[in-house]
This record gives sequence, C-alpha cells and structure tokens, in this order.
Amino acid sequence: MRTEPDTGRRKALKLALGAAALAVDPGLFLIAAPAQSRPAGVAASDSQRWGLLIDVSRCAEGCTRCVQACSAEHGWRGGGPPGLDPQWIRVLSATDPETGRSVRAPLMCQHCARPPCADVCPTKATFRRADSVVLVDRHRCIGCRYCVMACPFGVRFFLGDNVSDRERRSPRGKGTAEGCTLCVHRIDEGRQPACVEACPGAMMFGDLNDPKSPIREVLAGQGARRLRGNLALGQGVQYRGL
Amino acid sequence: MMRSAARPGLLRRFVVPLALGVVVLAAAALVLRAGDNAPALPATVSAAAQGPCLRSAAEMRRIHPTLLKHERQAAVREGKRDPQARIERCVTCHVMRDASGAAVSAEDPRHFCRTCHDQVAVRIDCFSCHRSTPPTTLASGAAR
Amino acid sequence: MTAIAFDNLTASPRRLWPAVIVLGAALLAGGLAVLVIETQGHHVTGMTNRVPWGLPHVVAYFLILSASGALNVAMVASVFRQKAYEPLAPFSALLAIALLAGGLSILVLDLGRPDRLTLTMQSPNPRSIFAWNVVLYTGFVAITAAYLVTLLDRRFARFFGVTSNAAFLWRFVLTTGTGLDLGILIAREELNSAVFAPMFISFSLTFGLAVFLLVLPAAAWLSGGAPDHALMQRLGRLLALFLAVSFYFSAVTHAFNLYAVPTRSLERFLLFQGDLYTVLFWVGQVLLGTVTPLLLVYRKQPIAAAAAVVLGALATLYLYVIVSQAYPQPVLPGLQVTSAWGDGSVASYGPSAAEFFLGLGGVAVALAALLAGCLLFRIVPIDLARAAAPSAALRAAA
Repeated sequence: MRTEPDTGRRKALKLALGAAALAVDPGLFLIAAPAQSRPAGVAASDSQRWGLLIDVSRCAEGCTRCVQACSAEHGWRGGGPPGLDPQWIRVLSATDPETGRSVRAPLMCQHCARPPCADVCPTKATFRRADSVVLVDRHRCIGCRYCVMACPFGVRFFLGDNVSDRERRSPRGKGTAEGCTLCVHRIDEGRQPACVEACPGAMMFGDLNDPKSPIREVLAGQGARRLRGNLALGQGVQYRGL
Repeated sequence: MMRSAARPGLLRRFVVPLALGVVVLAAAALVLRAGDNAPALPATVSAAAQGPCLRSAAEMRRIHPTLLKHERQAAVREGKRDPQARIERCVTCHVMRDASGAAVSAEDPRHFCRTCHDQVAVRIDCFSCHRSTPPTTLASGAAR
Repeated sequence: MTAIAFDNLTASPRRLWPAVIVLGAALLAGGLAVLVIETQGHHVTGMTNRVPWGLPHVVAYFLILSASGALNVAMVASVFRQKAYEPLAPFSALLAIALLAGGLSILVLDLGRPDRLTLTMQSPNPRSIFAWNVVLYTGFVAITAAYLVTLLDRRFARFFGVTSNAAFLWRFVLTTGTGLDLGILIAREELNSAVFAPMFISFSLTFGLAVFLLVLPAAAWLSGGAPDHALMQRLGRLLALFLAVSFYFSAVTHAFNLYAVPTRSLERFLLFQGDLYTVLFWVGQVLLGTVTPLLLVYRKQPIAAAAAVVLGALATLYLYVIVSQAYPQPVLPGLQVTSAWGDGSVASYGPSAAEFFLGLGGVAVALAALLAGCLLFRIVPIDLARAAAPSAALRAAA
C-alpha cells in the first residue's frame, strides 16, 4: 500500500520553517525538504537532477544512522570481513596528518553525471537515469564486475552470495552488481532517501536543477566540493567541510 | 596440396552429420513438448486481493511475459512507476499458503508462478532478485 | 604458396593417452570449479569487492594476449612472406584460435550471470571497451578461421591475401582493445594511460611466441617427430627481441610511476614494500621472466627460455591486474583514511582453489582444442606429423 505524500499544508509549513532556519544561519541545520511525487506512468526527466549535500562538520562521532537506515531499507548486511560483503554506504574517518584534524564522511554512490561505471558496462546494465540517478538494471547485468573495477570511490559491489528474505522495494540478486540507488523507490514518491531521513542533520537531498530548492541555495551560498574533483565526473553527491 | 581421393571433403565429414544431429534433436524437442496443455489455475486468489488483475486470465497467460518486460523497462530505465503493475502486487494477490498459513516462496513448487512454469519447463528468473512473497510486517508491527 | 605437405597429427598412443587423460582431468576440474562458483556464488572465491578481478582474469588475459601473439608466426609467413615459416602457418593459426577460445571460456564462465550473456549482448554499450572486446574476440576467431581455410583448401586460396591481411590488422586492434581494458580506468592513475595498448601488443608478441615455442615441440613429441632445430633457434632469438621490447615498456612505465608524484606511493609499495607483489616483480617478472630467458636464448635453449617467459608473463599480468585493485584508491587525497570497509589500507587477496582450477580449465580448453584440431585436420607439417622423416621424393610428390 503506497504511503500518502504530505498534504499541501504540511509541505508549506516545512518549507517555511526550513527557509526561516536557513535565513537565520545557513549552517544551522540541513532540513530535508520534500520532493514532489511523480505521478504514475510519468517518466523521470532531465528537468530534475537529484543531489545530496553532506555537511561533514555535522557528522557526529560514532553515529552510523545512515548506514543502519540504508541496511534496513535495502536488506544488505555488511559488517563482514572488510571488502567482502556489499556495503552501500559506509563512513570514512579521515585525518589530516599535518594538522591532526579529523573528519567523518559517509561515502555512497556519488551518482556522477559522467559515470565511469556506466561507460564501461558492456550491456548498459549500469546506466544513468534521466534525472541523474546511477542505477543497475539487474535484468541486464551479467556480473562481469568491470564497473566495480572502474568506480573511483569503491562504491560498486558485486553480490556474490544468495539473498534471503528480500526487501520488498529493493530487488537484489546473486551474480549482479549493485550500489546505492539514491532510494529511487522513495524519491519517485516524493520521499527522502532512507539515509537522509535517518540523519539528524548532516545530509540534505534535493533537486539541483531547481533554483529555489534549499540544496541549491546552500550550494550557491556556501559551496561544496566533490570527491576526486580532478576527475571531473560531476557527482550529484557533494560535501561541505572536508 | 596432397589430398587422397578416397577421403570425402570437409563438408561431408562434418557438416552433414552435424546437421543431421541438429534435425534429430529439434524433432525430439518438438515431439516431447507436443500439445499445449496449460495447467488449471489454482482456484484461490488471496483475500488481500486489491481489485481485478491487469488483464483477464486468458490474456494474462498469453501476454504476461510481454507485460513484465515492458513494465520493467519502463519502471527501471525510465522511472515510470505504475503501482498497479508491481510484481509485489502480483505475488500478494496470487499468494499460495502452506498448511501453517505461511506464504510459500518461489523456492517451493506450490508457488503460483511455479505451478504453471514447472509444467511447461520454462525457467523464470524474476525471483532471483525480486521478493516472491507478500511483504511482511516489521518487528514494530508497522507494515514494511 | 609452395606446395607443402600437411597431415593429421599421428600421435603414438603411449604418448597421446596420458596427454588426453591429463587434459580431461583439468577440464573436469575446471568444470567443477565453475559449478561451485555459479551455485554457491563468488564468495567462495578469493575475489572480493575490493579485488573483483583475480587469478582467472590473469590467466584469461595471458591466454588472450598469447592468442594474438601466437598468430605471429603465421603472419610472418603470410604477410611478410618469409618462406621458412610457411609450414607452421596453419598450426600457428589454429593455436591462436585455441588460445583465444580458452581465454574467452574463462571470462565467460567467471561471470556472475553467464546465462544472460547472449541475451544482453544483443544491445551492447558502444562506449564500453568490454563490449568492443567481445566483437573483437569473436571476429578474431572468424577471421583467423577463414585464413586457416584459405591455407588448407586450395579452392579458397584466392582469399588468402584478404584474410591474412585482415587477420594481421585485426590482431593489433584486438590487443589494443585488451590493453585499453586497463588503460581506460580513470580511477586508477597508474593504469590510466594509452601506453597500455602498445605495451600489451609487445606482451602479446612475447607471450604468444613463447607459447608457440612450448606447444610446437609438444605436438611433435606426441608424434615422435621433432621441429627443425635451426627454426627453433631463430624463433628463440625472435623471442629474445620481443622480450626486450616488452621489458622496455614495462620498465619505463614502472620508472615513470615511481617518478610521478601521484603514483609514487603505489609504485614504492609494489617495488619495495609489497611482500608477495615485490617478490613477484623482482623474482617473477624480472629474474624469471626477463633475465633468465635472455640468458637461455643466448645459451641456445629456446624451449626452456619460453617456459621461463610464460612464468614471468603470469607474474607480470598478476601485478598489473591485482596490485591496482588491492592498493587503496585516493578518495580523499592528502588525508589518511580509515573505515570498517578497509579504505586506506591494502586489501588482501589470495586466490582460492576454485579460481585456480577455473584458470587451469581455461588452459586445458585451449590445449584440448589445439590437440583436437591437430588430430582431426591436416594442420601439422608432415615432418612433425609422423615420426619418419620424409624423403625428398615424398615432398616433391605433394
């Protein structure tokens, strides 16, 4: 049974609150602003471009709510020997050896505008949807793992084990590649990705093509950077505070 | 090039037996699959059924592969969602339960899709990725 | 083309049956490995999400590179018109096809969903070098087979020029594509270079000739014949030349990576700090794979040199394929990164038995295909096909 999207009034209230908070202090907290639900039968279009903004200064020590939320939503377990089981989102701890400053940053599929994984996929199983979400069409994936090799961030995974008790909206199968889907099953209904919903205030999701969206305003005002920016991949996921 | 007169050419030695073999195998396959006996559909449709199926039973039998293929192309690659056409809805309405009332998964030959597909010996791949039973509730009691 | 006598390989049973049994056992082991991997899933292998390509891919690359290189003897005969090599041209072409079949079989059977390959490759991705490789590999088999037919059947001899030139060009495009498999990975700075195309072409010439130098005497041994000594010495010297060029490419790229700042730490790791990888480089690639064969060719032992080259080749390819995956990627350059996933640290990779037997099975596919071809078709020159040395009259009568 589909959950009903927010009513118009609640949406307006949330937007107003968010705008007010941003006006007071843009870095105060990142409010998750609701996206529009797309009606049934309407295709995703490039008029929207989904992005994620992560403020690592707000990523609290020891917090793994994004990881747990994603794991519950999609049914991957992780936590095995390092590098073995898929882990769609993981938290990096990075320390500057010169100053000792350390940050934590969640790392997931960066949803690049020019994704190397989609370039190398021989069957077009890995593709970039019109609204800039990089997805794996598991109907076409032959499991060659070239995309896993090609990802500059190590956020593509090959499921080498049988899946038991699949999640209802997240099909996963042995022998195919997978990774963060930006929770397309949620964002198509106007909801937030599971990680953003669970995060107490370090993550923001929105439409990068909408000049009035909060994410655009923060990016325009304070900017953010992309990981491995020299590769010019145009990721939808950007980071502040690194 | 030295070639003895008694040995037949490449064509006779290999291609003809190969072609004969293919014809025999094809004939055997046709004979063994003779007839188009679609099995009787399971009589029950779940009490949780939410309205009629997308098409009539006879039509579904004929075109469900095309429907599935079309829907998955639209849903996955284009992002066109149709809540009426989700596999989740199919397996919820057509759920088969065992003696204890638990839904059987596609591993079990009593699964709705298996009852027909096992008979016509067409392997289906859907449930290597998709959930084959209706969604269950979370531990908290909320629906997943 | 002069009239050369070819015949089916007449192997003595005492020698043939052990060979068939060994090949059969290797094929069986490979088949079992595939069954285990496909039913249990790839988690039974040593390949992980940090190191998704492992030993099977190393062996597959070796076989594929050797395939285009093994055709070299035939190309020297047919395109460069060196008459001395003409008797070996059909054997060389068959070897090329067999090696490619072996390499492809490993790649296809290692896929997560090989059952889908024929379906999904009906709409390939034109931007994917992998998709192009599938076209190049199958085209190579087709063109080389056509060339082989023009060699064996006088009715098709008029297509000899077209097929031999096409095979010659195609094999360079194929090896370029194979090299660019690694070269286009922008994620890995140490691999991301077009130099992998010419480097792999030089590797293919070396590895292919080395395999040829091992397989030809083996085929002759089966029948009790022996290849021409002077020819083997000549090919041995050619092997040394190719090896020198290969080593040049590899040495220059390693030195460059050591010099260039972004790749320096990885190269230092590989050359000096990498335990297994360091041993594989200095002992495997340099000592066993380059210095030893050059010495052996100088001492007029081309077959031993070829064996050393093959071992060094596997070490070389292992380093190129595995080290870049195991070494951490610079996701946050300048920062020391750690995570529960193992970011920032070198991933460990150890091939499992399943991977070893999958690779072995691929080699067995290649050798079995070659053996079958030699036994069934008239590929082998007559002085190797049978133990008795031909009389001049017999040659003239052909």
